[in-house]
Amino acid sequence: MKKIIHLTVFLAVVGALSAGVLSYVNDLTAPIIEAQKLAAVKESLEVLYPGANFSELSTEADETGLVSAAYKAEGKGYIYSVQVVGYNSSTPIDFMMSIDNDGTISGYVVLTQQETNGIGSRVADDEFKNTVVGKGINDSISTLSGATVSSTAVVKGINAAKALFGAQAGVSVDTPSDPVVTTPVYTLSDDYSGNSATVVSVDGNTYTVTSTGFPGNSANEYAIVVENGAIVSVTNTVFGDTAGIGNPAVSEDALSSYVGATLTSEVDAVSGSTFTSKSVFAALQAALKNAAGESTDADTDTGASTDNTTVEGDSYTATAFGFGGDVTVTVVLNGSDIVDVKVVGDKETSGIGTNAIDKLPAAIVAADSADVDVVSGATITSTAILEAVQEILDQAQ
Amino acid sequence: MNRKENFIAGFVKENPVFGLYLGLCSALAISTTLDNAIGMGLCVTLILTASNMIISAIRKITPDEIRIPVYIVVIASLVSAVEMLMAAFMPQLYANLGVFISLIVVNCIILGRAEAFASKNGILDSALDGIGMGLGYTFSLLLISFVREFLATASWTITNPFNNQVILHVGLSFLEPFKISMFSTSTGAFLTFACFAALFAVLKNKPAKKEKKEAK
Repeated sequence: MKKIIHLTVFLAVVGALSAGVLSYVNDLTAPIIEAQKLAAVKESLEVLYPGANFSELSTEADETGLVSAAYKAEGKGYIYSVQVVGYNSSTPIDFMMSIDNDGTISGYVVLTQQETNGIGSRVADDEFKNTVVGKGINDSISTLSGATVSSTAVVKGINAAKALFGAQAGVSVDTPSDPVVTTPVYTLSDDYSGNSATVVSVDGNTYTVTSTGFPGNSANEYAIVVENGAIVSVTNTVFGDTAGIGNPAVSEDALSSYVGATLTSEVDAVSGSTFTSKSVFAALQAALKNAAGESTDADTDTGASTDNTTVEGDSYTATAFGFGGDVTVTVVLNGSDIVDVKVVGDKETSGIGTNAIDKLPAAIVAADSADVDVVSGATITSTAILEAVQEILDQAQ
Repeated sequence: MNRKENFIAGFVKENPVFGLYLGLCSALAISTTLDNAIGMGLCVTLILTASNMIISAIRKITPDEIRIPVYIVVIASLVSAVEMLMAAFMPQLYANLGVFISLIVVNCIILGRAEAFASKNGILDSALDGIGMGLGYTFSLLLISFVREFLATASWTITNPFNNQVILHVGLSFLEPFKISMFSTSTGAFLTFACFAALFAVLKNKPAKKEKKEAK
């Protein structure tokens, strides 16, 4: 018995002594090690808050596990380092964002990402950055259409950082619902030249059309029945897009929603399969145009958004997409002289776009060409008008 | 065995790596560059000497039944302390050696010397044994890494672990196209080790004449 107590006490004393020594060394070195860790990341922190004093915070309060590190910039705000997995499952998107003390997202920097170039990689572009920076913590952030997978992942990461910020800065943050997916409005009169839709064969009123979806994938083929300028049925006969991603866009549900559509109809893209949806739209457009007896080869449609040039004797009409909607331009030509220009664009902003509609026609007649200065402050509408005029001049030659 | 012989034994006759085949795991893993070899070698020497001294000092009061746990606690504390100091003052070396620092705890050289020598001898002898064995280990690492670093990179580099400044860089650039990157992998480590182990076996098995030469 005495022996056992002796052994126990001896081992306990040795253990206690070594624990004491270790805690002393730890006290000595912990601040230095901490400072070194910070120094390693300081360079990237400085990008967000130049010249601030940084200290590292715990990320324990982050329930999602997406936030890998949190730093406090003394008196300025908080920085969060976040990793999310987007489309490329082998390399996460690694980004840092800063939230000012007042709850404004002040910075967003993507450190590494290997998302598909030109598609998912857009989450690193200014286009997306600008939709993030300046938002308050309770504002929702939209995902990027066409890069849904990558941007949804990033938005989830941002939301995780916002929640952590709420906990650390003592601010209440609304629990954001799932990322808001903005569905852009597509109409069948849009430009789908990128999808290279081609009518392969026509059998009665059934059109077989091929069009590519995701760049680089092989073409999808659709059998489309058109009657009286409207879609009667759409079926996907060959699927060449990414399996598992493009499929929802050609599901029976999705395709049946396009029944009844005409060239001016608005159509919904399937979120997450935008590229494939666009191939459907391109095919529908090609079939409808073919049915209407128009050119079917989307590639010959030169003007980015100019279509339907109607030639009526000496009077020509063309439409182009302005700021709010279509702008229709009618030009009366006498040989190559521009005699009269009329512009109708009731969707342009009153006082801004309408300025161009008022002023440009006279200038075009005076200059006898589309080579006139745009109306300052109404650049978009002006450009649309000039594009339409140029289109007419090209056609008239 | 006098003290001098005792000290020198660690280099050839009882060289822990090539003679006793102890501590091979870390020796093979970290002997890629001279920097790592020097860092690891000195680290082990320091811990070995300190643990030998402490264990020798408490050898008379340590109950026989629990001597191994006591040794382990002593060694582990020393390793943890050295690890923290390294992380603080030599971050680059710490990053290179990584997990092998913590693994010094179970490095058989240290526990082996504690059991075989320090628990039976006085403090001074134990310290000398620790330094000798530690330097023998360092010497072995240097030999392996000298060959490996040169074959893998056609150059030798020694840097100051405290500020990462290059102290010495010898590069034979005309050999650059012939470097064999295999030697930076474990395959190269085994090949190099085997050659040296064979050489040391020859030296060790030579009659005492050779040993006297070494001792002078």
